[in-house]
Amino acid sequence: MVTKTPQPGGRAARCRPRALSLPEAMISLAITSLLLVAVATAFSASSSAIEANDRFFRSAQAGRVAMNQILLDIRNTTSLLPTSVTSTSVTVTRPPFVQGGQQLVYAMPSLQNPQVTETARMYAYDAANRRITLQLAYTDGTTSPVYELAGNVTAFNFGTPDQIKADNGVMVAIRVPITITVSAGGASVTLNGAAGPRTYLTY
Amino acid sequence: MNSQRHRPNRRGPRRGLASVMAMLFLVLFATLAVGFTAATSMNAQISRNERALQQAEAAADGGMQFIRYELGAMTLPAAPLGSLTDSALLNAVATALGPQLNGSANMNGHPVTIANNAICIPAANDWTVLDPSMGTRFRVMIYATGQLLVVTVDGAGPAGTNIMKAVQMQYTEAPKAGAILDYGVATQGTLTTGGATVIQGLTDPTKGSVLSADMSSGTPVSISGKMVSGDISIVNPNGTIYVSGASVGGTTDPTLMKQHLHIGVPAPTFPTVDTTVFTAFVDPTSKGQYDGSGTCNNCWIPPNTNPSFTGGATINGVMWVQAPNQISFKGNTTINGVIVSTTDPNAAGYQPFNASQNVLSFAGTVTATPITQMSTSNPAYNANLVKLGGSFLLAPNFAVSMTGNFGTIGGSMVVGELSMTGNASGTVQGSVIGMQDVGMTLNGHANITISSTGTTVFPQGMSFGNDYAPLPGTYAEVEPW
Repeated sequence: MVTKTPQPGGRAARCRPRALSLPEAMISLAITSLLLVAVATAFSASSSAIEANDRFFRSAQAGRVAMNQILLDIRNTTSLLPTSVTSTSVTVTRPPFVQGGQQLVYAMPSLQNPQVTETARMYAYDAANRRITLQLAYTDGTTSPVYELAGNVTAFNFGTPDQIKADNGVMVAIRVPITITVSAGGASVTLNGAAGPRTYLTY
Repeated sequence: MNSQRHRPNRRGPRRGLASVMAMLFLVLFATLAVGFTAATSMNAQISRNERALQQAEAAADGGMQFIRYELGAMTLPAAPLGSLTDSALLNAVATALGPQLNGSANMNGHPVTIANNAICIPAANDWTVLDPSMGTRFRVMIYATGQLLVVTVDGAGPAGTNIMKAVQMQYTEAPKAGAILDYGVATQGTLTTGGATVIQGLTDPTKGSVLSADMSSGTPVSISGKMVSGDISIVNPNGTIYVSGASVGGTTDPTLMKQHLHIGVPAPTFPTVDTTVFTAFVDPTSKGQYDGSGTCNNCWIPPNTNPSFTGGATINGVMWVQAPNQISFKGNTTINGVIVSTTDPNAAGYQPFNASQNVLSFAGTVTATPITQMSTSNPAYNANLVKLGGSFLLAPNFAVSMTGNFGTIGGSMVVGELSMTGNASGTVQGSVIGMQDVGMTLNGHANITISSTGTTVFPQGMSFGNDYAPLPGTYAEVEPW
């Protein structure tokens, strides 16, 4: 029996494709391009979604922190007259520092001028810039720069405070409701809270 | 064989491209999934933290309400606390809180003790659990400074979290209301009525109530008179209330009457009497001493004087009676003020109750006017004296007998022993309180009408101890201890 061994350069070798033909290459490139575009689009959309989510949750968290801060200051204030509360702002008097105490809320010295201390804090809604701001008032009549507490705030409202007549006959606010709506990336959340100065509690 | 070997090489690159693409997508979507998971779990964690923070705040507030109740329920000695040092004050508070709290579930097995100059409830390293299902809890630290108690309450969120909030308030001494003033007639001893005796409320029948705190007699209250318009209460759980032919609580029906008879009631706090608030307006020198004229303008009667006021005696302001003394009022007596005895055991003119040596006897008609209604244009009525309302007779170490009409007296009577006979009758704008464990007897046509103000008025010269009340203006949110 004679066995015929294929020789290099023979017919069998010529039939084996050494590379893609031009049409094959173009088709595969087209398919690959389409796939890459699809992947890029999906990646971009997903990244945007993550970013929007992140922006929304950061804004919502800032709104929560601002809400907690306002409620904390209202609870601890030594004086809150109904006239200090408008639909978009509240001004709370700062409690004095008690020696030896561990207070979290008290009239602190100014960062710019340690010779003066806080007298009040004003929380307000800046509708044009959709943000909640904080400004401090000092004993010498000056005020601090306006600080931004939270952004992407599309609605902010202090409700009409509940009032009672204090022992000295002056009407005081005993409960202030607050509503904050934060919107970002097409999503929104509304936060509600209420607080009253504990100094007006009767036992 | 060679052709089989070459075939895989020809198809290999196409399968590889698909695999790469699949892996690319896998990595891409896995990354996205991780991103979403991270964002979602972060927000869930923030929400949990917010909730735990609110629960911790609620726990701290709950703890503050708890200790407010306990500090308000305790009774500290009626003596002025102003002289106490911080440690003595804290000791007094711990002593008072102990019986209230020790053994309760709130203490978690710990006793009320002082450690490091503070009382920690339940203990410095333990918590009182508010809600076992959630694990919210609080702990209280009390220390004294000046005459104030500084109370700090830590509240902690659910079990497994370290989120805490703390609130602090200062508490100040406050006089306690005396529940005994809700009774028309109350005595440490027994009470016996007979004849046509009437004990009634002026406009509210329930004011004509009776209490005996006697624990030795089997029948602390025996009513054979005509009427007791209010309820009858005795402290002795094994005692009985004897009623014969009288109306009690508006009924003579024995079945209906049972709901007006109370056996084994909690013993109320009898007042501590300190008459120095009145005697301060009496000149303790010979100038203020009673001169025997029948008129007393802020006078004091030395021991063993034994005066007898006959016909038209007038007392303006304070009559300060020192013991021993047997004083009688016969005929018409006008009392525009108060009668008090020495109550300080360390003062001159004090003698413990003695029914035969310390006697006040009113035999005729007494016309009494509350000191609060007197005009300060009369020099006998100091502007500060006329503010001292609510008391008429403060003589817990004297036996008092009344046989005539005493009109309307503008305050409570606190006596050692009381007997009323004959036509003794009148209206008491307060309560009648017998301070000694002796018999109080009402007989003949005695008629006591009670026009009590209850516990809404604190009679001057009487104290029911002190508790501690919060000062709302001192509220502060602080760092947990």
